[in-house]
Amino acid sequence: MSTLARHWHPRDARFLGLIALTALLVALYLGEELRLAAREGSGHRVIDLKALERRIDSGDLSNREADWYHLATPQESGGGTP
Amino acid sequence: MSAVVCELCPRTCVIPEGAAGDCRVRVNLGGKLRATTYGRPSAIHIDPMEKKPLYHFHPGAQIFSLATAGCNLHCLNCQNWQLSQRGGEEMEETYRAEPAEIVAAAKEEGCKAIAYTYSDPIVFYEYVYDTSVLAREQGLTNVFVTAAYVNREPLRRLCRVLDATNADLKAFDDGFYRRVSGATLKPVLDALVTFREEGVWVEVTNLVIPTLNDDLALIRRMSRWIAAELGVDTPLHFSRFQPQYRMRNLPPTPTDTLRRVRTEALEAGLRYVYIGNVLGDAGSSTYCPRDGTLLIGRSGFTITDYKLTADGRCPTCNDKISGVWL
Repeated sequence: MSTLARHWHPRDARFLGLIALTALLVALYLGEELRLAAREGSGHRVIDLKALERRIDSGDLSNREADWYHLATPQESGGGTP
Repeated sequence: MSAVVCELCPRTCVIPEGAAGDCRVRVNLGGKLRATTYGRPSAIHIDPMEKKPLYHFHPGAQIFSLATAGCNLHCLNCQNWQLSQRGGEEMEETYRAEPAEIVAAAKEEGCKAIAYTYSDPIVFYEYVYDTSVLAREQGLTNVFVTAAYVNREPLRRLCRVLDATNADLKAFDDGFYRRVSGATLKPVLDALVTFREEGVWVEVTNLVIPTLNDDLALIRRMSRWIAAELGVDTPLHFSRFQPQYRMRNLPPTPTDTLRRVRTEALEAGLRYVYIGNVLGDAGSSTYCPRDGTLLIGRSGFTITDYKLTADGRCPTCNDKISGVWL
């Protein structure tokens, strides 16, 4: 420890700061990916909703109601649906 | 926030507001599920019937073929992934073509059949259904080219307006379905049986991928199942794999492998077994199961010889050949 203290230099602190910042960015990125993966885990996909709505408004895509679906019960939606 | 549950395919996706099902194109907007690609195909072509492939259904006919974005399977070797693995909002181009316009265009082009194909038409179910109803009213036939990952009740309803299907049976192995396609085997087998029960003409395609599903014991089990559940007259197409999309690490299927699996399926009792994606191979022609007479010669998608009688019989032994002929 005393050897480390003897050889400590301000540039080492900058280097450690850079390492810490990189680790923080990696952690944030992984956290976001995990959050999205968890949202998609129940058989649905997160989409670019604004782009979809734009394409529907312009007539490029359809707003036709689908057949073969029902509103999710609280059990089906994991207790999250009122 | 109202989530909805899609009942169309075995995934039964629970979809919160503002999200899509696993297929990317069935979207929950305001608590209602929307078929966002209804009347908005992204691919329209006129193909020969042999490209579907259907070899025992109106051979040589031209078929008006269409698809929208999206798919409920995610095969690592998908050959149409630019179409199937994207949502409608990700497509550069969509055409506006309501069912009546599709039927009119097919007739104008001289096609007597419409194919719902390329991606899996299950995900644009409502568009297929409405177009098929109109097509049938106007004397056209409807062909459904599918991986058959669909629930029984929606399929039964659709079968009322379908005339023929070419259904993928990707492997007789649930593990393969899970690893390669992100799906399961049993619903596919159930769907194949449903097609048959509902009177739809069925042909089956198996894409033979080196090391993954080319084991002869697997081929034998699959062929026996087809013979027992769908009938020995069900045409089976063994198709050659080409490396693409996320499966570029495997080589194309050797022709010898395709010939071996074809022999295995014939020995298992199937009467019409074909090799596909190999230009000029004798295994892509139709022979009389009784006396071996060449009935329909094919090279690629072209018919080079046609010797069936007008009522679909072998000209040598007069045996009836199963199919829906001209």
